[in-house]
Amino acid sequence: MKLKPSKEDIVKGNIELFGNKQIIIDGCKGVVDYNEDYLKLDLGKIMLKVTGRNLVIDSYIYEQVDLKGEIVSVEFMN
Amino acid sequence: MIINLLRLILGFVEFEAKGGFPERFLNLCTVNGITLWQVQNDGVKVKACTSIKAYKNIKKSARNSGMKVKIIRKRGFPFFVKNNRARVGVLVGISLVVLFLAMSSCMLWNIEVSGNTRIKSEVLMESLNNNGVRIGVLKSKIDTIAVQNELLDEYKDLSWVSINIFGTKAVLEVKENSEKPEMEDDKTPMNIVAGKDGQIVLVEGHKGTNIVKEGDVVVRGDLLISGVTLNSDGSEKTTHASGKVFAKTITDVYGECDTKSSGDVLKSSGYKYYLYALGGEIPLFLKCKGEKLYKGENLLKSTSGELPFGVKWEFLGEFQKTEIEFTENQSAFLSLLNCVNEKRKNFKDECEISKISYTKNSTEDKVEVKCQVVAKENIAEEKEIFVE
Repeated sequence: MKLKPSKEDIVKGNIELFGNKQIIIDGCKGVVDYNEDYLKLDLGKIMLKVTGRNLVIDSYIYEQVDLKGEIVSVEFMN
Repeated sequence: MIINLLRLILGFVEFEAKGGFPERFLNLCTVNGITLWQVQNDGVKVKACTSIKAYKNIKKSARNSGMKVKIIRKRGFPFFVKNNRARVGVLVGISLVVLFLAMSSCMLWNIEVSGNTRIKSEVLMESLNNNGVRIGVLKSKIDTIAVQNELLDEYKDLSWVSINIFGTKAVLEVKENSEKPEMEDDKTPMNIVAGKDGQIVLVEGHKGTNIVKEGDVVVRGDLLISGVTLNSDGSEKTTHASGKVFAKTITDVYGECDTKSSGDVLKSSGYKYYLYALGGEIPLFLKCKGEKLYKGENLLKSTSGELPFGVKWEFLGEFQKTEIEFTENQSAFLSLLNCVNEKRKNFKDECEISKISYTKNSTEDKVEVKCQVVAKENIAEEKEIFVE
């Protein structure tokens, strides 16, 4: 069992959450799955899943995703 | 907010993409440098916005992801111009309004003067005008420090001057010097004497010895309040007598008027109108003769005051020399008016007129009026006591 995460396991980039209305994710390598209720992003070594309601990608530029809507959960997946 | 405004100025398209793989379409767009915003996926189609230039390159990404794109709406200034190409006048008008607003916001619209009590605001405005601070001038051309120094040099009564420009308004704030108070001379020995003939009604002696009492009849030059007072040991001392002595006086005033006179009579008159904007005037007349009698202006008003836009006007009149013949009554009336002017010179402020009667004497070419004015007035006059 690993106690400390290795350098490769650490997600590069920033994630900013503004209440439950907006999330800005930096270092996005691509959109894996997207609809009104959830967004799954490829962050390189790890996946990020944001679930919510009426999710709208306000902008997607230079590996940065600005997502707006009613956010319910943010989840990291391997 | 600013980004949205820029997007509107540069123009953008709102489109929808159907079928295929929406996620792949989004990734390909990003890889190809196509900026998307307001991306919405309802499971059937993807709705998004992009710039005009980016939309031209979007077909490749759509084809590679198996999607079909279709424009829903075109928005922004370039599309507005394109749709209104036939209405050149409207576009030119809008451009001129924008240009005018941009230009006029760089100019001075209003000047205010505050803090002055002795120096009139009009005089200070005139000085500002001479120093280049006037309505319609470019704000960048105003050297406030130089103008402040000029005003301080020009008006010795000013101790402090400040010019502040708030938006399109210039505010001149001034502080005036305090006036040196006039020192009342109460050391020179003085008597109070009668300035007119009359019967004393009231004596208010403030300093000195009262010589007259109510009911006494005095002629001009009589001593009313003496500046010489007696000490308790019997010696005398001189002082500056002061006080008020009210007396009932009878004053004759005369007035006369010729029955025939020549004067300027208004022959024709008219208005001259000017369109006024930011200090400039455009005449709205072709021909208008005569000399300027008075002028006025009707300016547009806002909640913060008058705006430098509106109409200015001048009333012009042309006069002609004419012989005028007055009736006896008209001449008598004019003579009475002359009497009133004469009366104003003869009487002081503290005067209560109780009766006016007049007699008129008419000759062929003039009417003379003699007015007799019965009044209660202060007849006290100071007269210096010469001591050797």
